[in-house]
Amino acid sequence: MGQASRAVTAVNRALHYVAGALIIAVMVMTVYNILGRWLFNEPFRGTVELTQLAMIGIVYLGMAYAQDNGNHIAVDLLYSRLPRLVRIVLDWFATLLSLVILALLAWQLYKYAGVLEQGGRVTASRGIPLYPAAYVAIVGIAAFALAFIRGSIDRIRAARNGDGLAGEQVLR
Amino acid sequence: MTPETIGLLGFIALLVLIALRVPVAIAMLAVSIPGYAYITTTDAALARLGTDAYSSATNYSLSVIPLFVFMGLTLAQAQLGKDLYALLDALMRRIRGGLAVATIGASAIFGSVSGSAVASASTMSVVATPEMRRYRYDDGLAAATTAVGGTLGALIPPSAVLVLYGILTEEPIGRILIGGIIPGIMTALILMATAWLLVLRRPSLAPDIDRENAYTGPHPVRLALRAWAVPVIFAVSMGGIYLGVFTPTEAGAAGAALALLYGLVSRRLTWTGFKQAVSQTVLISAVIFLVVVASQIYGFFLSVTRIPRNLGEFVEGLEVAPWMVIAIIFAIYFALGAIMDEIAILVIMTPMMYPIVIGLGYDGAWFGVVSIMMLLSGLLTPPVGLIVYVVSNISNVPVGRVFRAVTPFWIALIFAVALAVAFPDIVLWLPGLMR
Repeated sequence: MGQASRAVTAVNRALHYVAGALIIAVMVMTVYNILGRWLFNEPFRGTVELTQLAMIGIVYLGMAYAQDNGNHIAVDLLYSRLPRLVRIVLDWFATLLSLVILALLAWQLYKYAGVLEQGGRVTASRGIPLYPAAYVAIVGIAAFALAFIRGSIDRIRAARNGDGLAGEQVLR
Repeated sequence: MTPETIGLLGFIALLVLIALRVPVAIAMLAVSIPGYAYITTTDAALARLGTDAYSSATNYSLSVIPLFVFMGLTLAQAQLGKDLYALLDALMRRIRGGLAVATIGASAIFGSVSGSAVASASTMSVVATPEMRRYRYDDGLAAATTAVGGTLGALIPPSAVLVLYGILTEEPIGRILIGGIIPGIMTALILMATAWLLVLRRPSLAPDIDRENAYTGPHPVRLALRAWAVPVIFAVSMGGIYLGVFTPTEAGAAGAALALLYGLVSRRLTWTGFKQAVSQTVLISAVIFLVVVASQIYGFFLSVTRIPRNLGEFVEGLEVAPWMVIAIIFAIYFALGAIMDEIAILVIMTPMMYPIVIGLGYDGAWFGVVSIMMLLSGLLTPPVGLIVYVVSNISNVPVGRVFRAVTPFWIALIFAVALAVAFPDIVLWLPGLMR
């Protein structure tokens, strides 16, 4: 499992750099559009719609690595005062609930991708199909789910070795 | 069960799940999906999930957040945060307790870009606490000023939290950002004055070391020449929004590109620093985006429960002064602030409170700015002021001591809120001059 755990982190790290590259791309494109508009009176066609498509990747591809780093917002007030065993149970409860929600999200995004594809929906200016972006979101959500599973297994293992559980070292 | 009952049960379930340490966004979805399905149909709820997960992410306004966060982190990686701190320190060194005043000022500027009060307080605490210890400042004061300075970051534009409010309410983001400028500066000055007054009243907090002669750093002018990029980039991006030549996204992109250009030309941005800035930008954005996606669906759920509308009508029917309603709303925010992160409170409460406030005739941008000012004070109060714990952790100053030392500051923050409620023009004057 140690190896699988490392593999999950490596993938999540890679995905978050893809999101980072998309942010840089949006920055460069937007500046190019501003300069084109001012200097040559010729804006970059479809800047807004390309930004919107890129946002899907920026939104969904970073979530898994943020989970690996314990960044997502959760409240430790009560949790941190509970006995260890209760915390282990709650940890798994949160993980299972998250997995159910993420599975629903991925499933419905998949169905929505079908709707977008069958409807032949494309962006207004450049005519780029909308549905592939939905698959990008699904990839991000799948990685996010793996991050939850990996985190819980790692924490159980650490607890067995007497190390800290979630929320014991950092607040969020 | 009536939709209102479902809504109320849903809200209670949400708070229970959050208390059990379910991530806030997951808890919002876990309540909204079944709640929405019960009131409408399961098919409708599931379909909503798919379309909203897609459409909320493709909201053009969302792109403002990573661009501004990247701008700020790039400037920080180029060591400009340290320069600003050194500059303010050099300027304040004649003043007794000047280092504490400088800490608040520098955290305000640095924090404005980092997107989260907790994140910026922890960053500044690493830099500023050792410095104040070196000059034998009181430990409590040292920790308190970093905590307080950190909270300011969420208020002073370009702040990710202000943008988030705009996304939640569909208020124009440019107006909100411009509206945050004067209250942000005002609050920073009030807090700096508070630190100065504290030291004036109890000189033992900051020892009477002749810092002017002990000072060995570069001349303030040289420091100013090093830190010039921060005000210039701020002026270009905010000025662009103000004059209407940039959309908020364009202002973020231009600011980020200038920050990157500065880092490259001055050779102060290393490859490692650049990678760090990109990575941190993605992580900070991902945290906000997850709650944005969840809040979209939660907002739809709340609206079908009719709670926001009924609550609005109920409040309008009450024969009380509008400012009383605002006071009650802020009392709730203040109480929640002791338990939850400012972003969590904002996404959970805004869909309910916003219609009430608009119904009373208040301006939406004003409510956003003042709400965020209010939320910051909650982060500093017991039993759970989050930032206090973070700072106490990093600086090794006991929690109780930090809470005591921070008390005058959150009172000052509430004073600032009261000013902005009594004189709404503090927020609305600058946006009113736009275009």
